[in-house]
Amino acid sequence: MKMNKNDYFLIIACAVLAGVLFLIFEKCRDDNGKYVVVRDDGEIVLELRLDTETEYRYKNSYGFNTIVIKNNCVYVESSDCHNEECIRQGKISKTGESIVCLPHKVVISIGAGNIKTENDELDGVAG
Amino acid sequence: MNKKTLYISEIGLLSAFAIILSYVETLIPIPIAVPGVKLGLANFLVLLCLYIYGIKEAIIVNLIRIFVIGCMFGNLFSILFSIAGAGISLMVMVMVKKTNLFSMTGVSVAGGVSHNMAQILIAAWLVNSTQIVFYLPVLVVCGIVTGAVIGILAGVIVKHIPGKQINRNGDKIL
Repeated sequence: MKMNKNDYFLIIACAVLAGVLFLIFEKCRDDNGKYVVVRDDGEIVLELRLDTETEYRYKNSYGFNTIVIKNNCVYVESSDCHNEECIRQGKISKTGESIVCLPHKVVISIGAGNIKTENDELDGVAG
Repeated sequence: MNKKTLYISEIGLLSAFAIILSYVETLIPIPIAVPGVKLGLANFLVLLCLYIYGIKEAIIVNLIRIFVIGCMFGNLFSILFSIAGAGISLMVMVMVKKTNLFSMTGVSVAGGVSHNMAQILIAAWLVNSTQIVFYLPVLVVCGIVTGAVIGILAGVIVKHIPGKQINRNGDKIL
């Protein structure tokens, strides 16, 4: 039951590790989270604006996920995966947050997006 | 009673308890729902097994628990995913315990942190994307907190199990 000195040392070491990782991620974080980025097996397949209201049914060989964007939040409304863990993960709205559907290999995250930098002007025109 | 019968029934009892804890865990919603990341309540039983019996029994109870829970609520995929996390966590706990530097709390914290880290890294590898590694710091902190609570509780319980203060290898507990 008693905790010894080494236990405290271990806990502090883990906490420091968490702190350092947090600072690194915070530094790398792209604050410009205007896009909902959908990745399928690591590749970006879809980018949607976060400030719109839309519903998208993303389908791949594993199954589908219905992604809903509403009030600057993203969530998965329905999916045919076995555990529906993606639905349980709820709404995300902050840069860096993500929803993972492990069985479908789909990651939905909020970030700056790649398409924006490539087609910035086109986007402006399409506006 | 026959020693072997007693042994089998004890393992059965511990496995049943571990299964119940795993089930209770599914009922508690946690805000960060990265796949495979849990409170680690079942680790309480694994820790007790590790100290009261030994590595072999901890592995047996762990496997029975994962298999039964997987059959009831998951599928083959979730079973394999759980085995990977639980295996790495148990390996780390055994190594940390072997150093004889830490109490049960330290071993439990190491187990909790390594379990969460392993699960998220495996998940990132499976979906081929580093996006979810963003949650790593939060999960390390979660692992510390639940690991410490479980370790302290397990330490209290071990003291009150009569005749089991010394495990099969003859190591004195605590």
